[in-house]
Amino acid sequence: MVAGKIGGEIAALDGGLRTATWIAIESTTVFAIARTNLLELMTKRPEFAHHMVEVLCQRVRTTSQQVEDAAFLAVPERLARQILSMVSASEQSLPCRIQISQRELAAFLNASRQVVNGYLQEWQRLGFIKVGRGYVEVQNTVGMLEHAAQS
Amino acid sequence: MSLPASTNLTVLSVLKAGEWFRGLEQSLLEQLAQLSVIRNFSAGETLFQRGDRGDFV
Repeated sequence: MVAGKIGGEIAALDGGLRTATWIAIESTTVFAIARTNLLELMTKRPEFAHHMVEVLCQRVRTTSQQVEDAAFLAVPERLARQILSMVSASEQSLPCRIQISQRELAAFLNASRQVVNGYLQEWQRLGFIKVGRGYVEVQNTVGMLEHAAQS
Repeated sequence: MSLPASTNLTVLSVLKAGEWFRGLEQSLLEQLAQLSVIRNFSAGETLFQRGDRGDFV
């Protein structure tokens, strides 16, 4: 998660239980908006409600793509796409450092940490990424994706 | 720890930078900023947990 990102939106919108756990990995400041205030603003300003629907639809599209990827793509390609989506979300240029552990990456992909580590080490050897404790620094997305597709 | 979001300029800049609220008109962003409260977390602290009920604030 990087600056400007939103979390907890599902429970805030539907009033249900939290669907994820968030733990700060470094000193973090958040701007929190109470559910009642959010809903009141959506009622008072319909254009805001419309905007929220659009953003949620984008999230659904992303999730659908992830489900499709999980069903039809092998681990290396899913791993490369996951890393690429994080690079894209960070809005940083390359080289781009993503703060995520191998265990967390493996959990995203429903794969073992050992398997994820194997591909990351291979891509590091090829110069596509650098791997450190709790981070992946991406240097060559095209190379990584092409290699993943051939793996 | 919760504090009133007295530094609305900071909140506004974060709202404008984020993917969710980017492109919203200024008056809406200002309303969102006014509704926000600032919460600070240390490394390792839990913001919220899967299965929890309740509001963030």
